Amino acid sequence: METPRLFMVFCLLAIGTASANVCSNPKVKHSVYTTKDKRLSTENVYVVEFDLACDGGKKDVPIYVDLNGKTIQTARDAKTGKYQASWSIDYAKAPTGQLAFRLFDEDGYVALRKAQRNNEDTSTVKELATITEKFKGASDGPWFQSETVALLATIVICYVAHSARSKIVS
Amino acid sequence: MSQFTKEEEILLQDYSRNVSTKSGALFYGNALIISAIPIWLFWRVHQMDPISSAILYVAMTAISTFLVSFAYKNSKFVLKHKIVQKREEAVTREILRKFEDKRMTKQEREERILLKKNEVADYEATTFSIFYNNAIYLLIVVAASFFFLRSFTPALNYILTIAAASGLVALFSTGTK
Repeated sequence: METPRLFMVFCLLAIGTASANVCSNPKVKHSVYTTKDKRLSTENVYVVEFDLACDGGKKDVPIYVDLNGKTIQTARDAKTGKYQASWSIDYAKAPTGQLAFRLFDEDGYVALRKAQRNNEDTSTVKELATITEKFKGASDGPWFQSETVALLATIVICYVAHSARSKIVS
Repeated sequence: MSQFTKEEEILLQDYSRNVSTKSGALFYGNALIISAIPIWLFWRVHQMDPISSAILYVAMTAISTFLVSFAYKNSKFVLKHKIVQKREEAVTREILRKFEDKRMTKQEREERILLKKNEVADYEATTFSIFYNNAIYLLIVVAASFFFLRSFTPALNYILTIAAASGLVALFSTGTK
């Protein structure tokens, strides 16, 4: 008699826990940071920060973010409630162009991992939301240093001044 | 009462290194501006805080102002005589054309030509002297602070750059050609 009751309580707990990790009708407000200058670092850094609003006011939903096949679990700020995920990738392999950060909840993440293990097309796995950002790539810096340009400009002006003076003095 | 005629006064002024009050003010004003420009450069690029380095900035700017205005005066003196020779024909033609219809003695006409020549040469020599010396000053400042003295501390870099720029500009101006 006790066993069926215990089993039912256990099932209810399991369902409750599982549904707590699912976000329905997600609304995302995001900001993305990417490395601007290659000269100051050895790897390209991508940081995505976002607010997630789910139906029913659910909070603390574990979220995973995927960028070009690299999936990581987000960290969540307890005070502000913002989620954050970051990657640092070698410049040679760093993705550029239209970046797509795919957000997954627990269920989505499990499906994604399964597809990755079975070498299936991961684009068929439905994500919770997608954050897109256009990234041209980190800059190598200007072709000429500004002091070189300034020096060349002053040399040209001095040459013009000296030529004019030579004409007057001759 | 002056013992000299107007013509003699103009000639004396011509061969004197002294400048008029107006020219003097122009020289010192321009020298101050050009000497103060490197302050912005050292503050923003070499990160020399203006509050903590205020005494250094003021002292070097004052020295540089004096030397650069000295260079202006010297350059103007050398250039003026050459410009007078170059512009003589054009000025004479202009005065003759202007006073063609008016009756004038030869002396009066020559006096006017001399005055006009002096005025034109004075103005052209003043402006060219400022332009020429400023160009050399800024070239030395850029070359010294960004290339030759790059590895020095900002304060030492500033002192040596300004000393070199203003010193060399003053030195070059003492040439007779």
